[in-house]
Amino acid sequence: MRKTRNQLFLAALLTMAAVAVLFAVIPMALLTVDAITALLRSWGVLPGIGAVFLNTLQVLALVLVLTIPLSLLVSLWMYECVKGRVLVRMQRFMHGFSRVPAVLLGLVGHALIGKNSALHESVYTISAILTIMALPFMIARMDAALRAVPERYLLAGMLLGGRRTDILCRIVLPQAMPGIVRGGLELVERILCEATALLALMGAVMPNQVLATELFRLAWLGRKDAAVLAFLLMATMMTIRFFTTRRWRSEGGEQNCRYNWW
Amino acid sequence: MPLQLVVKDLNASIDGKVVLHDVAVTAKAGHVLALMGKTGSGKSTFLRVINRMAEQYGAVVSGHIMLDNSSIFMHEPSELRKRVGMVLTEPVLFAGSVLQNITAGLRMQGVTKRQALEECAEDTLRRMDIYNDFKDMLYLDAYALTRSQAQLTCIARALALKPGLLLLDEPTRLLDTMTSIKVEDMLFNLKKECTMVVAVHTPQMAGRIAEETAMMEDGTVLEWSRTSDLFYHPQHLHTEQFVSAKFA
Repeated sequence: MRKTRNQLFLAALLTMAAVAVLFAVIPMALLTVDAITALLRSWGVLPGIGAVFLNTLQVLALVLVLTIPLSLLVSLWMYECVKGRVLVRMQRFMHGFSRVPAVLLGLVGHALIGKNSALHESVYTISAILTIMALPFMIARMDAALRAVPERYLLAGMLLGGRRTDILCRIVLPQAMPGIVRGGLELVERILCEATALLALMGAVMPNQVLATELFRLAWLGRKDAAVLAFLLMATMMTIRFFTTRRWRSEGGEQNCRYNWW
Repeated sequence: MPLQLVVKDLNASIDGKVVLHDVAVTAKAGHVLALMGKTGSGKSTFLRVINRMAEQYGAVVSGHIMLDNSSIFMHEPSELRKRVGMVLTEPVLFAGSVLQNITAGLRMQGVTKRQALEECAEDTLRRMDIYNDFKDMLYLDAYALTRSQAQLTCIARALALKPGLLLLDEPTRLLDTMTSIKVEDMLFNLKKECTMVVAVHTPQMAGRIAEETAMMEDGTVLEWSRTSDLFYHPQHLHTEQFVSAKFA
């Protein structure tokens, strides 16, 4: 147990170090929305709506790169090491924090990070605010998914001579994958359709720079292609959900059934 | 390579409550030892003490448990469980294909080559004489299997590690009659590969597959002898009632 805790702690440190290096090494100017859009437009790669899609994907990718490994490590740490009253409090905090409306988080994040930090109104600002919103949401979802794996799977893993880390990686995580993927999809939807729009409307990005705000702008102007784009976005999300649900189906919706097997 | 199991003066308690008291049995190498008794008599606990799972869940164990003259307490639990396999009453399949399930133990030991895993699965299924039934299902989702197939997969998963001792906790209780008989035949034929300790839910199963049988009651072994002796000349009234009531 102690060894597993140490390994998890080390993995968390390494991930955080990698993220810090990523932020330190890559020149910030290259990662601003304006710079990338201008660069790609100068190459003739992205006329019109293409740039909007690319910007949206860029924000999405940054948030997911930050959120998924960190929330996975935190949820594994909570699953393995945190017990009793501390665990209940952490779960309540994560659950409560993940329910804070995106509008409120966006306003606070923009005021704190966008206006008062070196990041200014860059793609980093958007990603940082969205990550603050996304982390508790994903941690709560991953924690719930891990704890929904019945105890007998751990027991079966131990019967095969597996060490705790092996059992976590090879049995518990694949078993929890349906819940984790569903949480991830909801997160993608929130980023694409909810929070980005709010942030953009606050002025963190220009209206024509990310998909959600571009849709809003087009609809505001009475353009019919807004409806087409919105429909395409919805169809894409539904298709992704359909295939991921098929790929990572759960075992008959099995609920948490931790029991004493004596 | 079958291992000999010798248990002496075994006591175990959970939360201060004694669950095994002065248990002493021996399973000779290559033999099947059956454990009979009603629900709560300590059969499953005894099995979980032998592979040190009981300690994992807070049991306090004392006594001698020797595997080929070496105490099980000298081994790391995870190392011990590679030599002592176990099959539970209810089949537990992991997410993934049937092949991934059969080779789960090997993959946890670091074997990753697909060819080696496939060969191991084929070898295990052939030893169990069920390769023809399973060869077309190896790449199917394990959740698509029936309960009988799932239990056979779990037995294959335990045997894939080539254990010297196999513990089976009422492995046929949830299976239909035909599959139960098939499993019993298979276990009987596997005796040359590993010693087995089987908690049985009916005396018939003990009569069909076990050389020795132990009758358990309230965490103690009432009597333990050759199966035929225990069935035809029981020393305890309780054993006689248990055997005759269901054996008639």
